[in-house]
Amino acid sequence: MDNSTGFHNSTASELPLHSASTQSGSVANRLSAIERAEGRLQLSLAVTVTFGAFLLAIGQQLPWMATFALFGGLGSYILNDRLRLFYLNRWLANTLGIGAVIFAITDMFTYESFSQMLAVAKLLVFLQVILLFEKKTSRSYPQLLLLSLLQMVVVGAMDLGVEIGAAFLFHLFFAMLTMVQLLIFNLHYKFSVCPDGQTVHFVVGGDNRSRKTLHRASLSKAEATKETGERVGQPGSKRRRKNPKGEMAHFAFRWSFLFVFLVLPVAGGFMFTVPRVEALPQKLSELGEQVVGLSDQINLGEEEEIIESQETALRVQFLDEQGDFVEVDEDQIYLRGTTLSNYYPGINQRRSGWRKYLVPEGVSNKRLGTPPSGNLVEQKITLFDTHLKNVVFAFPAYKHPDEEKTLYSNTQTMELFIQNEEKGSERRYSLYTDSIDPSGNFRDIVPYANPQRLQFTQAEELRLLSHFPRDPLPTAHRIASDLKDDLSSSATQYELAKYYESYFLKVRDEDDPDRFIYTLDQTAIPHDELTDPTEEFLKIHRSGHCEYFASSLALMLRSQGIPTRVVSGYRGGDYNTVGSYYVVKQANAHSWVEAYLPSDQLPASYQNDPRFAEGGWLRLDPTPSTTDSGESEVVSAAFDVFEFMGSLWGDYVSPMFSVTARERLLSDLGDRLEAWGNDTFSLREWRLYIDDQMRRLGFYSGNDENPLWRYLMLILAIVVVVILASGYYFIKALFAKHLERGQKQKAKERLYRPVEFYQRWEKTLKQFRLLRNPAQTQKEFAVELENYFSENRLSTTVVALPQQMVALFYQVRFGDDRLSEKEGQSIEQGLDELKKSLSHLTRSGKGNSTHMNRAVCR
Amino acid sequence: MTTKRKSRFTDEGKILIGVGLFVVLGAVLRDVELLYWLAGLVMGVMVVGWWKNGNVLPQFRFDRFHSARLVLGEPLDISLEVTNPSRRKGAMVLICDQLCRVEPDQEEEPKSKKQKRVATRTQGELTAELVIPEIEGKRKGEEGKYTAHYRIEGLTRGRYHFSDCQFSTRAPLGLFETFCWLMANNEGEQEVIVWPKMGELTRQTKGWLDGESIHTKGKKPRGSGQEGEYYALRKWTTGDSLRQIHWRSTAKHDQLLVRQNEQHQDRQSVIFLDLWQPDFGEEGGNSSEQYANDKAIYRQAIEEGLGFVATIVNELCRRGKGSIQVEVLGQGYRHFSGPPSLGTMHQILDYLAQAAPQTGGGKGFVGQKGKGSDGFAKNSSRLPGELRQKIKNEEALSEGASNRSSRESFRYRSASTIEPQWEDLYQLLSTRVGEKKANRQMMVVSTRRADQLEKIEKHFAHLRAPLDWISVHQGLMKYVDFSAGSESNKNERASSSSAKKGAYINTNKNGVLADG
Repeated sequence: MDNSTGFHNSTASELPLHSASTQSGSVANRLSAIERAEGRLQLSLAVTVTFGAFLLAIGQQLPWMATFALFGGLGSYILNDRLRLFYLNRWLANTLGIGAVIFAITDMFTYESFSQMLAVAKLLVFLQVILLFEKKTSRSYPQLLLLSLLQMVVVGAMDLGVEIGAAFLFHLFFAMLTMVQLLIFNLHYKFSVCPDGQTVHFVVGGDNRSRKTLHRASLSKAEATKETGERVGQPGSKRRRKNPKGEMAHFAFRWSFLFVFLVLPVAGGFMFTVPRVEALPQKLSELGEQVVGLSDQINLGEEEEIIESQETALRVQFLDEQGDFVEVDEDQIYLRGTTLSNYYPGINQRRSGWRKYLVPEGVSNKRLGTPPSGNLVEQKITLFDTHLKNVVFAFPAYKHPDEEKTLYSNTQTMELFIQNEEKGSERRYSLYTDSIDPSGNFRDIVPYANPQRLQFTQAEELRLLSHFPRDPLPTAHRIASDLKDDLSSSATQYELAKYYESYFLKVRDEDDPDRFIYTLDQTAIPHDELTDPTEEFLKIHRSGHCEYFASSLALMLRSQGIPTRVVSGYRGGDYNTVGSYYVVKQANAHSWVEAYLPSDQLPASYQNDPRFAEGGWLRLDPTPSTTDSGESEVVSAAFDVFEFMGSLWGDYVSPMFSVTARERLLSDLGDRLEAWGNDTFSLREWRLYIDDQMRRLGFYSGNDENPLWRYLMLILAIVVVVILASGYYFIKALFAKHLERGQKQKAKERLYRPVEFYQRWEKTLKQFRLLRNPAQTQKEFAVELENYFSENRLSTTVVALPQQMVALFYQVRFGDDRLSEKEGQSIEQGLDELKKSLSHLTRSGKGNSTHMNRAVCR
Repeated sequence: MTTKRKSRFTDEGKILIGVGLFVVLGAVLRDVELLYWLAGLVMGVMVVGWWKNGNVLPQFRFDRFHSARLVLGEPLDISLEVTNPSRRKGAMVLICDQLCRVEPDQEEEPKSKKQKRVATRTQGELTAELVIPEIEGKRKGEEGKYTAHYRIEGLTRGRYHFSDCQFSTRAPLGLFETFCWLMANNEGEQEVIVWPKMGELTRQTKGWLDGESIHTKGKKPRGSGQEGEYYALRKWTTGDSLRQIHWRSTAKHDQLLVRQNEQHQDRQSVIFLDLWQPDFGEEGGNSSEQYANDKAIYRQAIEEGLGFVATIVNELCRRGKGSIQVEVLGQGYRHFSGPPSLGTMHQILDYLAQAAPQTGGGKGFVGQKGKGSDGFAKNSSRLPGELRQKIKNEEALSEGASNRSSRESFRYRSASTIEPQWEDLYQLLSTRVGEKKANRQMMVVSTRRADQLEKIEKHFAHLRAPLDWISVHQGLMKYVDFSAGSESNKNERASSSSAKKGAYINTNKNGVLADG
């Protein structure tokens, strides 16, 4: 079919809807605009997702994930978006994605709540990196943004503290930056942005492929070059301007900054006002959740893996009597939670382990005693892990005089409680302890001080603590006896206990059958249902965590008649250099052994101490210490700062959200306001005050009921009020002269430059490259312009303009005439018209410059 | 001006709402302060997004400027001058300007705005989507302005109507979208008519306009009327041919005198445009594929035929001499006659812009090969009686009944021998083609096949009327040069690059490009 005649062979019914598409002429322009917009989008997106994933990784304390996220975000930006070196094959990407999902699902089934979150976090980061390295389409940008948002949700769900809350703000800023960039990119990509003074071309029936081509071109620089025949968006090319008009890039930063500040009050308001439903979630979260950390019982022989949670359990600060910080050895911090005295051997049941005394509370509970004099250290504790009723402290503890809360002590178990304190909110309390010696070490022997025994006698208690079920535990007994034989018969119980402890701590070769292995993972260890787990631990596998070690040592001591109990609490902590306190995490949860030694069995230095007359408790920790993976100084310092901010948050901000505290604060504020109001607005107060002043000045004796000066004061007050009210106008009037002067000055300047209009006229023309030849007179130039305008078919008014202008110019310049107001207006109109039509001319490319070329256009 | 505003969530917004609810739920269930905070941030983003979204789309006004008429192939330049009377700044505004095709049978305008909107939606719409990056707000009493220019190329022949313009924005975050629909302030000019393609007439056709036969190449004028009837002698002026000089009188009066002929001045050019295409059967039927090529041929033929006639009309009106009569027999029948003025031309070309062929009766090139080459359409939609009545009425209106008798007799003499599919054309011609007239030339431009046309030509062969038959299928190259473009096209091209002086002035005089 011959189409050379240019007929479009389509009828009305075949007119495609939305068929408008850009014509090739402006494709290069548009392409570069799209490319620039996409470049900006890619950069801000890379920063957003990297920051998000990094935050997630830090929250999970997974250095490899942080590295991965960093590499994924920035690497993909450089390799993928900028250099366009490498893309993930779509098939491969899909496979990887599916693989990641499968991994995550298996993770979910294997582990408990925390690790489920971890699995989700891993999945999100994996998917993000895969998406980042895939060839990006316009759809993958919002997907990535959504992924990043979900990562934030996971970070939020981990409830890490204020530093993360602050980090959210940064993420918010970048996310909003990306959202604006995404919008701009979409506008450029899907539609035709119409910069002022340029024409957008549409072609009816243009095939829809052009969109795809544009898209493809926008992703591949090489192809774009091929298609348009020129390099687009190259740095240094003339096409690239710094902030090309119409690309809307300037909105992104401005808006994002503004919006962060706008979002803040809304978010704060939301957080402040939303009512907290506390009872329900507490119950829900406790359902089926493995208690990680402190517990009031020890179960042995379960096939489980203990996950070390990095959640903060408590903060503790040690202060001496002068209020200075006391620095102690981090490993030496033993904070007691619960004491467990009864061992239930596990035969034919899995629930074997340590339980508490079943002593009725209240009966044996007693107010905490006042401290003995000398060498006391204050322990200030903020306890977050509040699922148990008792509180955590360094043993032994005494009442702190400033402590408002009433702390009770269970005389039997040596546990502490706070009276009338609900479960579930964080607890703060201060106690004295004398367990820290001046050099900052925790004493391992503390006196047996339990003067007011109500139900049990000491003998009874000790008998209970010496109970040893021999039948199910032959190995414990055997080892204990064997070890006892190593020592001389004159050895004290102290020496024996220490020797038993060292038996567990001794470093042995790998092939030594006696070697103990510390592990948190009990899943791989076979358990025999018929054997007691402690027996099994000592006899067969010798691998387990602190509970097994403590349990074994306690039972071995008991087999030799030494009363012992197992204590569960926290051991160790991270010193925060900023806030000078120790952060104890759930991962620090620990179990150890306390053995009762009568005074004659104590080391010699204690035997004469009157405090140890009734004997003492020896702390024994048989668990081999695990070497921590050392964090670098910088990282830990950074964490310290965050931690400290978190503590500040907890101290000052968080209380705002608890209803009672808020009400208290508000009512306090209200009281103060009321008091202030009463003082300020009470006439009587004022009167008294003024009377007082007047009396001092000698105006007033104090007898007259309504003296004259009161009326004078009233009048004066009215005058002052009137002056104040009219102050604005008054001030304005004062400065009016200056303001007017400025305006007059300007007007004068205009008068002195009467030909200013003509200069502007030529300036305007200059913008469109119409210049007066220096050899030309204004009139000659006008004639030339007139010709040019009429050639280019400008409107008659515009064509007539040059002559009018030059006439006015001559009139003013040589006739020494002033312009009338009307003339001035017409000049302004004319200039506007000229601008409009000339810009139309240049835009449509119609500028017929054949004639003007030589003479005018330069 | 009342405008309707509407706001809705975008997909991104919906997703964010979903995530926000999820976060709130998580926060409540797990009692995590950080999740409350995150939920607050998400809510904050939504609130700010919503609030700002309404802000960046103030109540705009706009004017639309464009050419009201253009020739097929010319681009349509449109300027949207958007005014922002509010103090708030507009940003990232997406303008969807809709150009709707108005079908010929829907000429009467729907009354209410709503109806109009519904009506236009059913037809082919062309939507130009433009983004205005930023419109300043009102500053110091000066309203913010932004002019968006766009150009539509490749508009097909027809009549178009601008419907409401949709302004929308997703700024700032793309979570909400606010729309409003606005009518242009200058409501009167909302129509664009695209005339058929115009080319340049060849010498042959120009000759025909001067009274020569279109088929013979000789310069000899048809019959004796070349010089026309002597009107008077007048003084020679520049441009007069030397031939016209009356030498004897010149010698007598000692100045150059020329003979002036009356015919030249009021020569009547009658053009019959027969737009016809075979019935291709139902759209989408089995036969449609088979006829695809045929269809295309006919479609182009119709366009070319229209273009040819349009070019002649343009030329005649440019000359501004004689009188012009155009009879279009297509889906409808229209008759135009009048002096070659701008008005006449607009009238004719506006109609041609929308003219559609009549369908049915006879076959195209595919059917030609089979038996019964010129079968009749069984369900011809056209009723000859109706047409006849129409023609009669027109006749009565337009012309006196002076020479009716001769025509009547002519008509009934040969009507019986005419095959039904020709009847329309035959009837038309037989009523219009009268006695031979010295100052009149007639031309039939038909989209029927040449051999089909010959058949009907036979019936008028005895007539010594100056009737020229042109089948578009034989090619119009001899008569008109579309590739060269008409003068107006040339002007367009010239103006867009570099051009001769006065190009546009010419165009304006012709009225080919009337500015809106």
